[in-house]
Amino acid sequence: METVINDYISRELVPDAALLPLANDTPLLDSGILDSLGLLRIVVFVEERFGITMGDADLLPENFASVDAICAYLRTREPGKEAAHG
Amino acid sequence: MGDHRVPRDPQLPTHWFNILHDRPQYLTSAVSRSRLAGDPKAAGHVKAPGQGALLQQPLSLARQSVNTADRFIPIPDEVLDLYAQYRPTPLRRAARLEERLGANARIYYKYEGANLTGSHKLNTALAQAYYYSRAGVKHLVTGTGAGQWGTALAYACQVMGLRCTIFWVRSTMRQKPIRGEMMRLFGADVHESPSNLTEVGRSTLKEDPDAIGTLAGATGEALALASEDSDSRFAVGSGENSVLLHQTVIGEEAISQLTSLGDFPDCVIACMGAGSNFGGITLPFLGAAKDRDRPIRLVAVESAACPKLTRGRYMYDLSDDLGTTPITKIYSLGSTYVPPPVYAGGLRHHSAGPLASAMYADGSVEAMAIDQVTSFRAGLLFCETEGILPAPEAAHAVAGMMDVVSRHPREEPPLVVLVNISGHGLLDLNAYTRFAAGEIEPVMADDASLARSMSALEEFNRSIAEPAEAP
Repeated sequence: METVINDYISRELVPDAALLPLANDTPLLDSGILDSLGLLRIVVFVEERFGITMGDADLLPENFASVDAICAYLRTREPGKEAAHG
Repeated sequence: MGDHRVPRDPQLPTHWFNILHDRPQYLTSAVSRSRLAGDPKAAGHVKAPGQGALLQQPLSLARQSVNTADRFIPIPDEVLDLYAQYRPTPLRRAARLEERLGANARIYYKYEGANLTGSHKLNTALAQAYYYSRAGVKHLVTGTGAGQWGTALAYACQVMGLRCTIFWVRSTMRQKPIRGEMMRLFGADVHESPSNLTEVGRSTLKEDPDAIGTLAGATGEALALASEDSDSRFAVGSGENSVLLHQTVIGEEAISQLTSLGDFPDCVIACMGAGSNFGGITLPFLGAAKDRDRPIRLVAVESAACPKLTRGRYMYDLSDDLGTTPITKIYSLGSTYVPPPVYAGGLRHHSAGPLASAMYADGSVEAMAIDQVTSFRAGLLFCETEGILPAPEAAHAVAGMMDVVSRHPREEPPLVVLVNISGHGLLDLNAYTRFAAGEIEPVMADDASLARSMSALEEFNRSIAEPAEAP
């Protein structure tokens, strides 16, 4: 999962080669790699790739802080671990 | 217990019209911050390094701004109940104005000033407060120019049980303080912008203690305050695609109302701030004209003090002084441009929103700039003939409409025009009184300020790297 997310962000959202390779714990928000547009794009990507629907309550900074954070969030969405997602 | 819901008029739309379905090409105008090669602050373009307007909108709202799949988007039931309190808004023929002008035209107007807060802004304020409330947000913060958006959001927040803080552009706040009393009556905290509450405000005041303020500055202050705690979010009153979407109830209703009168416009006219009332009335007509396979003229009327379409450049720019808003391709005078103070504060934004800009760029929209003396003259004539005093912003639309009608050849069939009266001018009586006394001058763009801001805008664009090649 980390590889899939990292590859997508590296390919689509990090145009400056100097920032690559992207570490899984690299801050995505504080570094400016993810802005509002990038955030929307990754939401759409993970929804399509992992077959989930994200709601307003999921759009928290801690869920998008890094590749690791995104994967940790996605693991909470695995069958049997579903919390309330509005 | 009975049903206490307000009965819904059959002409009240149940869906918003989404132009991005018909014209998905209008969605291609934002770049990631990661393409900024340098610090935009160094170019004098923003007052602080941008962190990105992250996570401000609920996902449900953000999705509306990028939806190209659905032509119509359902209006939530709770929002429809609130719309039903004041919609449909009147659509009337301005017969006495036609007679006074000797016009070879049938002039219709849509009047959005009859709700409690006095303008079209309530259409999106209620929708946004609903979505933010549902997302668990407790506090909305915003910047407002003329004060109409601030008033509408203050009321919508009260209805939805949210706290509301408003940064209001200093020059306009001092012109019409009573509107501030309305905002406070609805429970909002109202601050003059620039203020000492935020770093961006303090920075502006340090440069110029007498700064008159801009909407970009007020927006920057609102974004700064909203980012201070997790219960707060920034709400925007114009420009965003989702905001224009909410405003399409205006045009949809107008289509239904005109159809019931057996008419359809050749030309739809509205004033242009960042594009919400303009998009609200025109976008559904773009769709309807396509369905009917007939042409339609759309005319945006801007303030000569802030001529973003007729004198601006179609470049990448920000919408705020803080530098946190998305970098979008828009018609702009540069976000550091300080328009001279005019009474149409709602038209003082330095740029049109991405959607309205894309419409102008592909030739779907015509534009004209009107000075405030011409607009007040038109507004007063509209009042004399139709019994409605338009807000100074809407008076620009009336003036533009009169210009269009005056150019229509007498030998041709009557021109059918529809003009949006986006708000009432009852809190602008002081301005109308000053106009009647001959105390108001035409105010044009400040060329020196414009030259500086355009130079900064061009430098900012040079700092944006070309997108990387797809692998």
